[in-house]
Amino acid sequence: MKLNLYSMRLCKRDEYDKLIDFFRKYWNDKHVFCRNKQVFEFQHGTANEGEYDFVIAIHNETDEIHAVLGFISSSRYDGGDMENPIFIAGALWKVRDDVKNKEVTKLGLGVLYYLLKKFPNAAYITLGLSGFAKQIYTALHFEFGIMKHYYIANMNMESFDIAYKPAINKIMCENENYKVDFIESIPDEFDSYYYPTKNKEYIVNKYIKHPFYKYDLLGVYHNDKLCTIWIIRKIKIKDHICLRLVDIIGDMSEIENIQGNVHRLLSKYNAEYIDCYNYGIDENIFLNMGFVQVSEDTIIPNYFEPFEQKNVDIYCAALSKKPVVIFKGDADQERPNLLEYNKYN
Amino acid sequence: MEKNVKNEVKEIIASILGVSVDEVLDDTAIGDITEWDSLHHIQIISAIEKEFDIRFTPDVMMDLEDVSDIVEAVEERVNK
Repeated sequence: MKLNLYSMRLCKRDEYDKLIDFFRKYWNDKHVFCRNKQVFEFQHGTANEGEYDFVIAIHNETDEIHAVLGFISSSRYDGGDMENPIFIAGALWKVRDDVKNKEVTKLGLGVLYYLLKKFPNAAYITLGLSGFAKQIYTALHFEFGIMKHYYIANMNMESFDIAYKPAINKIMCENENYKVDFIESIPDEFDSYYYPTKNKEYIVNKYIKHPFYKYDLLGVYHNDKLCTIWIIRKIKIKDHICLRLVDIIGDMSEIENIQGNVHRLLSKYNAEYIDCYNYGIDENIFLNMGFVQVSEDTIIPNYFEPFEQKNVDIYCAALSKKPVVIFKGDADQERPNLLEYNKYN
Repeated sequence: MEKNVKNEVKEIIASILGVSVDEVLDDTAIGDITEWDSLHHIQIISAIEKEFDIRFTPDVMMDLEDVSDIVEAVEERVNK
C-alpha cells in the first residue's frame, strides 16, 4: 500500500516500551501485555535478532506508532524458518482513532496487507474477531465461520458450579477398544494429521514449556495404537474444576464412544466437564466420540480470568491454500489475562 | 448499452462514500477522501464485485488502491 507519511515494518526490540505505551493508551491499560513482559514475549518475541512479531505503522516525522497488528508465528514454536512459517495467527489489531491525516484511515488494511505479503506461503488464521475485523475478513473472502463448542460432562458430579445444566451422555462404560490416558511425551514423527501441521517441537514449546499455564497430554489409543493426542489445561475456580481441550494432533476419525473412558479421567480430576472449541473438523467426529454440542439451554463458559458463567461464540477466519482446522490454542485466545491479580492454579 | 466501467465504478465509490461523483477522479485513492477509510474501502470493493458479478482474490484486492486500479481490475474480469 502506497504510504508517504508512514513506514511499515516489524517492531524492533528497542521499541518495546513504545509498543507497550501504544497498548496502554489506545487499547487497554489493564491488558496483560502492559503488566507482564514475559507473556508478551512468549507470544510475540521472535527468534530473529532485533524484531518482535508485531507489524507497526510508524509516522515518519513524529516516530510515533499509529497502527499495529500482532501475529503469532508457528516457527516460534516448531523450529521452522522464521521467514517462511507454516502458519501465522493474527492477534491484536488497532489503529489510533485520534489521528487526523490523509493516510491513517488506510492503516487498518495496510498492516494486514503488509503481514499477508510478508508471509505469502503461510496459512493465516485468526480467532475472536471484533465487528470491524469480521467485516474486513468476509469482504476479503477469507474463509469465515463460528467455532463449534463441544463438551463431555461428568455424570458423577452431584452439582455443577462452572457449567450450567450440562447434558449428560448416558453411556458410561469404558469402551474396551480404546484407552484414554496421560502420556509423558509425544512420539517422534507423530502425524499431526490436521492442517496446519504441528510437530512435536511445536507442542512442547507452545504448551509443555508454557511459562504460566500447565498443560497435560492425553493420548487416545485404538487397539493399543496411539491415534490422537489431546492438549488439555485444568482450570480451577475456587474448588471447582474443568478441563479445556485446546489443541489436538492426530486423526480422530476412527474413534467412537469414548465418553466412558473420558468419564474416568473426569472423575480422577473431579472435573465437571471437558470442553473443546473447533473449526474445520466434521462435527460427527466429535459426536461419535461422545461429545455433545453446547446448546442454548446449557452454559459451558469460556472466560475464566475473570470467570463469567456464560456461553461465548468465537468467530474465526482463515486464508489458506488448504482447508484448515482451528483450535482455541492456535491464536491469542489461550493466554493468561490476570496473572498477578488472581492465580487460579 | 454497454456498461461504462469507469463511470459505474466512480458512481459506486461516490455512493458508498456519500460524496459527489465529481470528487472521484481516476487517481483518487483510499485516504484521499476523508470518508475513504479501510472500512469503506472494503465496502466499495464488495459493492463493485456485486455490481459486475465478479470476484477478486485477496491477492488482487491488496493491490486495489485507487480508482484506476479498480477500473483496470474490473475491465480484466468483465472482458473475459
